[in-house]
Amino acid sequence: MPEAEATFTIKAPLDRVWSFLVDPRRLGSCFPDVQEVRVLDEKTAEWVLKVKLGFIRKTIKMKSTVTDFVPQKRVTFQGVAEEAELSGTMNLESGPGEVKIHYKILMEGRGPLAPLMNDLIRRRISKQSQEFIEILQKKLEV
Amino acid sequence: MSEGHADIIVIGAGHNGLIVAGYLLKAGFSVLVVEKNPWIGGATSCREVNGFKLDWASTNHIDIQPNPLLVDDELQLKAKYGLKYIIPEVQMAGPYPDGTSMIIYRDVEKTVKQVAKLSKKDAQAYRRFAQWGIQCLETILPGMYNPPPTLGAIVSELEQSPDGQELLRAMMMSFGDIVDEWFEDDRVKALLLHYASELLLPPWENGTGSVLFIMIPIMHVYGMGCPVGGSGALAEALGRCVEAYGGKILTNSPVEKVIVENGEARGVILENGRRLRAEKAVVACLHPKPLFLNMVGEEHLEPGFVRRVKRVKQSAFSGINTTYMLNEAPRFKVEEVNEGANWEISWSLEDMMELFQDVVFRRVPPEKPCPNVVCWSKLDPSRAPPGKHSLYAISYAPYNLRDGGPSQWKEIKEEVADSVLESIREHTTNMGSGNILGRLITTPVDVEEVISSNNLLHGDLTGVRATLEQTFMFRPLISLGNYRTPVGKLYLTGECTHPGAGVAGGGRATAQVILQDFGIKFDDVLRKS
Repeated sequence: MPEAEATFTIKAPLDRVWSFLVDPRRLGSCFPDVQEVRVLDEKTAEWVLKVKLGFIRKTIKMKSTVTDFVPQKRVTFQGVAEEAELSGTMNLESGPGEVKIHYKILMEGRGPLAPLMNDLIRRRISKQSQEFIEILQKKLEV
Repeated sequence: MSEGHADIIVIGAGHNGLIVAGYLLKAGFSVLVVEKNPWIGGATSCREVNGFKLDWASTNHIDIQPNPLLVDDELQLKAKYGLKYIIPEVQMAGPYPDGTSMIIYRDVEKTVKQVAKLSKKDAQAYRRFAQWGIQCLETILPGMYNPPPTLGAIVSELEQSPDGQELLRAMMMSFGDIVDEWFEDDRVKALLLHYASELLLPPWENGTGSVLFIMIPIMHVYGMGCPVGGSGALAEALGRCVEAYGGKILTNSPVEKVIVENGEARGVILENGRRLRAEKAVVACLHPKPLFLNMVGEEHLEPGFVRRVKRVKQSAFSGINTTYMLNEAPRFKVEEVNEGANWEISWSLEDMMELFQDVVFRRVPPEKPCPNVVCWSKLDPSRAPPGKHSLYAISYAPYNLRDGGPSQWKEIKEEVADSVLESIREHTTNMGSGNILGRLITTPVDVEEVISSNNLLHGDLTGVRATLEQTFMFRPLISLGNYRTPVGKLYLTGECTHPGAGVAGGGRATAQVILQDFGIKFDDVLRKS
């Protein structure tokens, strides 16, 4: 399945970074395709994404679940929608005045449009990963 | 892999068969490719004559340009195996007897300026056409080099937006009607119809309307091109890739039978009696008729499936290809078009329509042949000895001649080739006998008998007809649309499957399905070095 993996730093205190990353609404604001995030409970949320593929406009509703976490160190999550599923991990490492984040996300298309979704994911995942990092840095670095 | 034994046997070293082999080798399978001819490539091959590299079937590689195989160089054909494409700025030019011309450049606005010389209204229309086409391409591309979604899935997604509905409408129409709706000038229409008819279908054929919304934007976004060294350079690079991964290609090895045991493909028997064992699968880069009716045998197939194979349709016509060895490149009377290397001689819209009538009703030679003429040696000196040039001229022609049938081609081929040459001479200043060092004529019968007898039936360079009922999941027929066949462990690839006609590299999609069936993720293979 297509994947994105990156390591980057955020010049911000660990507390601020962690509380941002574990808040689905705030995390969702780092992805331009995400329209809305509804928190269902402390581990699950529903994400509404609008993606465009030429003339095809899809609204994707994905339910995310935090499957494991070590406070201020690691969070592991998965997401399931009718059209795609994902899993990922984010590891945090605190340094002087900054936090190093390493994440890996795997995504895969599902359903009758799975091959198209996989193609879409393959084409966009690197760019969207880069966008996510830039937006996150902007939001957290003062 | 031992001499007669591999995980996967691929029948046919056409470009798609080699592409499937490449991905499967990269995934870790052992692969043996068996090819009937002494050369590889099928329709993507060249004949070398006295230092001239002559494309005798395909020459313009269009649909493969957006393929991630090339865009992302997934098999390192460019980085490691020597593949390099020439993508010219002037994509296509059409000279007209009144001294005007229609030219399509890579750049949309440059093209619009050119069209404005013929019709200001059509220039505006062309801009909208190209821009809308680019959006269509964005919609269509993900489905092209991956296993096709069902028609139901495509329709249900597209019908949700007005543009999507327009695309659905276009898919059901003829490309002639599309051109008529968008443009008014006959010269603009003639070039576009000529280009679209490379599907080997006449403009009134329904189910072809989306073709220009693929071919035109590809020219602007990716560019149509040809490999340095000729059409065959694609297959040669693929061959090097296959061998570098440990695959083996056996040429001069025509297959007589697919071994079927307990409903599964287990290998092949060559015409010389040699048996080759496939431990995991057989992939056929072939036309479904010789594959299933001869090599597999009807005894292994359900009668309903056999009926559906027998009713697979071929394109409306084929073509006669004359490749010339020249002292100098052709010089067109309409000076503007000499900037390019790829010309559509259309005469007039009326002449083009008469040509279509002639070839559909199997009459040759037509009054006014309308060849596609290409001189890649203008941009690629490796195509000819120093200072010389090679020329490719293909003119539509029926396989099954009205007078005398296919066997009559050997009697009339020189006459037909001469009439095509006359058409070129009318538009050029230097194509007299003094410029011509030699020529090679390839008739539809030659395409079938010499180049690819088990793939290009009736000399059909598109594989099978590319109308709506034989595209996407229905290509070449219902139940073969996703490359799996009713025979276990037997897969079908090639032009006869999605995405179809021309040099498109659809083997990539076939490889994904095979890998999926063996529980291997395609992306894991892509990540391997």
